[in-house]
Amino acid sequence: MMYYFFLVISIALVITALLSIYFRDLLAAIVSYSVFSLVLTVLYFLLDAPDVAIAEAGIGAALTTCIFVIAIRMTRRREE
Amino acid sequence: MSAIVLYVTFILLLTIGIIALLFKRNLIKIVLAFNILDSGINLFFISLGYRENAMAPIFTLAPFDSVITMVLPTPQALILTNIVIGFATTALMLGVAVLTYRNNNTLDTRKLRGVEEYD
Amino acid sequence: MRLFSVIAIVIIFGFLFVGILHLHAVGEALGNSEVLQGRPEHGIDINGVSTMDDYFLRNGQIETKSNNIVASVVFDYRGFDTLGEATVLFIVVSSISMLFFTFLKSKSIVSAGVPPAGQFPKIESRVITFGSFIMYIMILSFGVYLVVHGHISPGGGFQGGSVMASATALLLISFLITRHMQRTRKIFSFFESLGLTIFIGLGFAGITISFLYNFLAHTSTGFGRIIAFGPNQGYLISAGILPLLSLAVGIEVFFGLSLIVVTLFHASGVKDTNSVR
Repeated sequence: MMYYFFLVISIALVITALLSIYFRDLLAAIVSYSVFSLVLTVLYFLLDAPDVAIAEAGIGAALTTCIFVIAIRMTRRREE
Repeated sequence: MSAIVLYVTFILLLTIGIIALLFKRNLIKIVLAFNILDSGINLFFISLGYRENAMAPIFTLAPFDSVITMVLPTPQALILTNIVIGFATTALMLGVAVLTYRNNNTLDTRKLRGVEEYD
Repeated sequence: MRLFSVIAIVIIFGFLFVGILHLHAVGEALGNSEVLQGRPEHGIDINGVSTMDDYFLRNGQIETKSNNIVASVVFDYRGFDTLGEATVLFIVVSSISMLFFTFLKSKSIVSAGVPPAGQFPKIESRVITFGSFIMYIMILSFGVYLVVHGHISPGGGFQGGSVMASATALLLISFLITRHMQRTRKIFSFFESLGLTIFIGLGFAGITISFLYNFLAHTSTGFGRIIAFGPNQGYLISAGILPLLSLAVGIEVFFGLSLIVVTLFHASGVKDTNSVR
């Protein structure tokens, strides 16, 4: 039963990682990376690692997104 | 049935990260690819230390059975520090990318190389 | 040429996949996996063979007197790695401050005709300013709870520090502290150094036996309370030197990560008049 959870979550991980590379609008790529980080937090919780899940949620989903948005504010929003 | 799908996910994330690192031209996309690589490596470590039907290595209010099995605690301790260091590395790379844009007004790596025919 | 590179990469990762097939299956990590209930009567090594992690799981409560085995591995059994990580974080934060140093000096900004805090828009909506302030206080208190209860429940210095730093990010994106950027950066930099100094000072406190020695875990009351092996309800005053180290790391991570975000945000409001535009 746990293996079906792992299968579904792993498919979601790979799809959001691919989408994050594929988008040309950099804001959409950053939002997709934030969803990737959120799904990874759920996977860490299912693997019985609550400490790592809290760290990944705080840093990956909140702070990394904030820094990327500030960076594209200082540069261009669309690729090329 | 072992959950080998976790190892396969790790290899797919590594492939996506390295191919995007080599073939994308925008600097911000390259930094995103670094982050995907980092997250893939962290996932691999945590899935190495997983045991079936076990619980998190915390004794507070644990279920009071006769036999308790727990997940390995050392990979979690190492990956905690790795996540914070990964964020700090990302911030430094983005700082360098922003300064590059302020000096050259472009983020395209082909134009930054100084080769004349890519306009 | 590109197709050749992609095929080469896929072949290399095929080799990696074949290598991974020889690892243990997911869910069956090595070792003697049963942590028995009546352990003190049976002796230390039950079947004679045990790996390092099983030693930590069996003897972590007896030796470090904390309920959270991950926190005891991070701060007691592997304390040097945590010291290295805190140092790396400090170095990276100072590098980022150094990268943006010329943009953010007061004299160079004022001489270009720009106000010292940079040019930021002003939010007129009362909902955003008041709501952000209330949420800031709530997120900060949740982060402090995570830091203080690091040795009982999932949490600790790094987790609580990063949650508190995301509260600072909330404060920035609602443009509440746009007038005090220079002062904020100075105060944060002072407290971050203070956090790392407290960590190293606590390491030197038990120097008669070794660096980062858990000297409070061997006093008989207070922080060195003896915890019986097995589940219990969790005691706040326990685990030797671990809550103090966790507090020092929490202070350093909070102010360090906040300083990164504040520096980048401050630099985004300064229109550099010397750049190529």
